[in-house]
Amino acid sequence: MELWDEILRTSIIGLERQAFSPPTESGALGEFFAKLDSRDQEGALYGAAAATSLYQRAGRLLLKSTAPPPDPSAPEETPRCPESAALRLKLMLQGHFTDLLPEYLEALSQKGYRAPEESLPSLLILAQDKRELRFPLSKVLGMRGRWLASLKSDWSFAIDAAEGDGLWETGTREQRFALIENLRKKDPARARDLVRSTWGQETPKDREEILGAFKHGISPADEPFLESALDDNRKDVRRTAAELLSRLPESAMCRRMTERVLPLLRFSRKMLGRDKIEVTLPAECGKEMMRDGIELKPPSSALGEKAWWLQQMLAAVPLKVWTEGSGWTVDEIIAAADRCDWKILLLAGWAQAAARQRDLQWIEILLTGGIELNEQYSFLYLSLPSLHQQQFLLHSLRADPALTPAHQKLWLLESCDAPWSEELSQALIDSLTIHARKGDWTADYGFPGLLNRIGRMAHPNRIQQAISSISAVWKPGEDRGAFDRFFDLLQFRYDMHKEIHG
Amino acid sequence: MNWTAEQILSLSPDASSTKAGQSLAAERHWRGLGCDQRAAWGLCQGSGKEPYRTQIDLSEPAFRCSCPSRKFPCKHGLGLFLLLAAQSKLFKEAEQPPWVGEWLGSRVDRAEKRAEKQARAIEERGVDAVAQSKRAERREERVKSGLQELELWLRDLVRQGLAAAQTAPQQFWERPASRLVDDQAPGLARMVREMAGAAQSGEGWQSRLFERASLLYLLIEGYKRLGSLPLETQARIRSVIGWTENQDELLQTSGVHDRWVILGRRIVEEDRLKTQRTWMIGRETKRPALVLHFANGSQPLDVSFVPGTEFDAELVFFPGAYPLRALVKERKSEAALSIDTPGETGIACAFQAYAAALGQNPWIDLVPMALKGVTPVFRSDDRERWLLRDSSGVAAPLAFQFPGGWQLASISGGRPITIFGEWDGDHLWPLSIQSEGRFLNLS
Repeated sequence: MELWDEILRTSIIGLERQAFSPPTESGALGEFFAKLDSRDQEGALYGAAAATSLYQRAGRLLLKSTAPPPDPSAPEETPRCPESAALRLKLMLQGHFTDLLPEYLEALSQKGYRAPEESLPSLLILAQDKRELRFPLSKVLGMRGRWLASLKSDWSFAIDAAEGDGLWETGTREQRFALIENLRKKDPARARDLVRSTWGQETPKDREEILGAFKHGISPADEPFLESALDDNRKDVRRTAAELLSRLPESAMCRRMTERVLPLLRFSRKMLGRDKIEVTLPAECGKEMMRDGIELKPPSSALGEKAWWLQQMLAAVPLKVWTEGSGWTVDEIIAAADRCDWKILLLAGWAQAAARQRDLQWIEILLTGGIELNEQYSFLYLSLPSLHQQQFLLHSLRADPALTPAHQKLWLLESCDAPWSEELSQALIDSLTIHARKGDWTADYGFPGLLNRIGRMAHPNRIQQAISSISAVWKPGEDRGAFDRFFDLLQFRYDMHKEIHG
Repeated sequence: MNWTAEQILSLSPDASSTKAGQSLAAERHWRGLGCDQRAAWGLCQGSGKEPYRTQIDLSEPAFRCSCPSRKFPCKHGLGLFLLLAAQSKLFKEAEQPPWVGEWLGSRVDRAEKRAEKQARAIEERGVDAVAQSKRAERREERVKSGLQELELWLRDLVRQGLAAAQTAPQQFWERPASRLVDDQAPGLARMVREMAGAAQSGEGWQSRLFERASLLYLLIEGYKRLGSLPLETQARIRSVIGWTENQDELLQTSGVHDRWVILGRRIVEEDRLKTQRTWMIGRETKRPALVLHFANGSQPLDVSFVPGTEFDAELVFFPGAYPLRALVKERKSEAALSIDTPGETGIACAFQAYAAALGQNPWIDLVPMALKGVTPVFRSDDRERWLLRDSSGVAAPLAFQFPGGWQLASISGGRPITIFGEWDGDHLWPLSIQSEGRFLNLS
């Protein structure tokens, strides 16, 4: 290299400023240099350069890799997915129905396959941004994927939480939040211990974020920690803690709240006339109540301050207090509330309580009898386990199979995120078939979105039937584009599952 | 042979065709599906009244469709081919409909006509020998004067020093380059433009620029004493300067018979000119070959050479020292899947072979390399820069712009694999991999 650098230096400075004489070299190169005519300065310089450059390229010293290569990945324990499925994945990663990836990965893991090696880097890169991919991806990484993720810090999310406890101390905010959320789902006690070990050093914003993960796997064992968080100096932390405690009916906070609220509601049975709930508003909101998460100011002026306090208090009282205290059934309580002047306050408070306590009986009665389901009460529907969500939707479809926009059912459809049951899928396909036959749908602006939703969520076992029954009655009109996309989507999902399930 | 969906999709001209072709690979889009030994066909309902007639000549493969798309193969061709690969049961063995038979017939006719035309052209050239030799003489003169000017320019360059070259305006490079085009030495024009690129290539640019300049100078010196050089070197120098071989004539000479395994393919685009490099190797002769295809703008490239397949053929090599470039004179069999590929060596051997090639042809720019027993590793100082390392620790660096380093690592899992690619003297650009009995095309 020195030889080349010497010749190169002259060429950079220029022969006008520095004369060139070929360096003395031994061997063949030296013999060649000796033949160069220094009177032709440029010729000699180029000649020496050409010879040296070729000499060095031909005799190029091989690069020695100093660092030893990383240990190879462990032998795989699960089989690679079929080749047709591997190719489909490649297409999806190139942008073809990319949003079906979670479903694809889930299907692979159900069959006990791992993702193909050649696509692992693309999947990991995608999951850096798309968090919804991380969990399904983690199940199909195989040894190869975990080995790969261990080589690049951006991919540490893909390594099991068990291996990643150290991340709690050293990870980025993102990594730490993800770690604690995963761990709460698997081992809530260990997650809590981890959080307690560093609680004093977290920033207020981080404390709020970390506490939010406690909604997973919450149990009475969490109470002491949550109770102590009620004294946090950040309001959002206190409010989160109070909300979490209200999910634990046996907690001290729930008892305190019950004592405050019990005197304010009176259930009176009338022999003649109707049962009645009499409401007294709380007189004041003291420090103790605020510690338990009650906010002073109502979110809108439609609600008075005191009514707002009571609504929040109701949300934190175990629901069985009301049935046991009054001896009334839930139906009777809701019917009475319906006639009360404070109807909105009562139902809103109880809806919140039912959602937090996951009380299925209350939720269903509220949904069917008490309140009209709209976006304001979406939390109530969403707090149902997915099976019950789908049952609810199925009931309303059986009552009326029409799928018209602005109808409540469409909104419910949008909210049902868990894999749809075969039953629900079939009911929707039947509804679509009715509309396709009538062709009464083309003018509705919400219709392409609805088709897309059904195409995306329909149970794989019902897809083939969906294609044949709908395409048999549908006559192409101005809705052609939307239906073509619908069929493409269904076909893609059908093939995808067929390739994986063989 | 049974084509795999992967190979079929590697024929796709672009991502949107891949997507559309994939969607069309469903039974509901097709009617009248049929096939025989040679071809497959079907009718696809498009947006028009008449369905499109789509057909594939399976021996190469070659496509034809009555749709107006200018892409090649079009989405219907891809869709039909994918459907055939996935669900061959849908295709009934049948007599070719007239529109299929006509096309296949015309393909044979065309091939015959082409051969006839070639023969005729050569005959005519014989008749026109006088005029032709005059033309050739004129060109020699022009090239000679072009080279003289170029030599002066090169001499100026080092007299004034390279330091000035980096900030020189575009014209500084473009003027001599376009003069060389006028003087019918397009190969040299390209080399001058490469020098302009080297001057802008960041740290270490002086070395890269000077290396190119000195090779250009070497070429001028070689041309001055052309008569005294061996015939093969003469041919090489002439081809680097930009004399093109007459391909019709070349195809009349006899070539190398072998079973050719397609190892990799790369398409590069420059100024709307697409160049497709297909690398193959002979099973018996172990001889590497490079087949080039060119296409302007949106013109389609040849799709009949699929990496991971092989076929019997006679190839004619362009003359020159260390000949690589070749034309396929005649295919003698259908394409078949390659189970294993020949010609792999260790890194040290491959470098020796490269040195030998350089000794025969100093202006060589790309050689094929099939390296066995190499493990992709990132450099300890930069995890996005990759090396291929053999068991003794010897390593070959990958091109910086090569995007698939992590993919190679994932496929190898930290164990040795076989990688085929293009070596440019400094870096390797991987094109295909063999691992655990699988051939993976990277392009």
